[in-house]
Amino acid sequence: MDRRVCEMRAGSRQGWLGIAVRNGGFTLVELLVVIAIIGMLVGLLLPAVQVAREAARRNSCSNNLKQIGLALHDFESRNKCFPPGAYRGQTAFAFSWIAGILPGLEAQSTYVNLNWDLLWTSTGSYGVGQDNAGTGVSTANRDAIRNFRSSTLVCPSNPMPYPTTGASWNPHMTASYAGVAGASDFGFVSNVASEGNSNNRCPDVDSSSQANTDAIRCLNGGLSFKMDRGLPGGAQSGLADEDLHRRALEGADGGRAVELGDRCERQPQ
Amino acid sequence: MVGEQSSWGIDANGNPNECRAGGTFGWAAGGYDGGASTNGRVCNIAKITQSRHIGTLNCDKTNAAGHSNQDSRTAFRSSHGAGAQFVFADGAVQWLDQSIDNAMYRLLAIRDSSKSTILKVMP
Repeated sequence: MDRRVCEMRAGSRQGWLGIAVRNGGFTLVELLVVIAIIGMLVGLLLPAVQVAREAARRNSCSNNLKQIGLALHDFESRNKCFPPGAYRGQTAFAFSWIAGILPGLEAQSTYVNLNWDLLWTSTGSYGVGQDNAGTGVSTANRDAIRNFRSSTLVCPSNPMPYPTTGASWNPHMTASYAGVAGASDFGFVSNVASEGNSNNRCPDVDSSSQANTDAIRCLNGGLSFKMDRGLPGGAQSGLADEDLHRRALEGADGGRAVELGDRCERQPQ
Repeated sequence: MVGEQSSWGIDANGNPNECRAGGTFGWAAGGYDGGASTNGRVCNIAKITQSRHIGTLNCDKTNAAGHSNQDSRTAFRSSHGAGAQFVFADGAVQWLDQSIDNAMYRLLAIRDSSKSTILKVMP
């Protein structure tokens, strides 16, 4: 028996180019080494994958903002002004600016269920219909909004609860995007002081003269302005609205407070 | 016109806290007089102030008079790093870094800042 046959019986044979090939498979150590190498490669790759995923989420977040911007301009073309930052309720929350742009967020079905006829009344039961204690003043709109979910209003990177916790009486979602309601405490001492005024919750109102009966005037807080005359500094300057208080200070500016259309203070078209 | 609030705020004890202008009242809530003097609030909009710079950690929702629950006093923030994205009135979406000059940041928030008397107090 020659030597080659002995080797074959021991589990190897001579393969291509005379290289010895084993028949018996891999040893445990070989498998462990391969697994360790694969593990190291995955470990190297994983952070890159996570970064790529976050980059994708950030892009999606940016796209949401683009959609919201489009929806706001859609509102503007229908109503000739941007929506007010917040409608103002007396004893309950009124709608936010988001409610007005629902048709632009592919949420027409929810929008048509909103009852805009429950606008300001003497009892104040309009809009969302809930007070600070969580007890509903009007349930007319609560049912219409509580099951609404929109991925456009939530940034995918957002680690916060969706829908919000702590509101079991009305577990609706909270948006990741907030309207810019102007700036304050920038050389206007009187405005800063008025933040201490208990009636100055609507950020864009000089509330010392703002009676509750006139509260609908406060609606223009936030976003409501007209594109044509409202942007002397160019559209880029229009990140947000000016506030009524400051407009009043700019009395020579052609009655800026007047240009805020009545239409946007009431039911959107 | 609209900016993002896509991350937690951090309270004085280092714990995450809800710092979205929608608060727990959700996307549909706007303004609320509150009847009583202490409870009124405005949701889903935020005002840019000196103490509410981009990514300000602590969202103290208490106003100058000590009234809490001022949802409009939250800061813009994001979980993408130091800054936040905003959509401008011309439809552009831009990233504003946290290192933006605070005066410039607040000027951006004012619609007619070119005519505003605010310019007169710019340093």
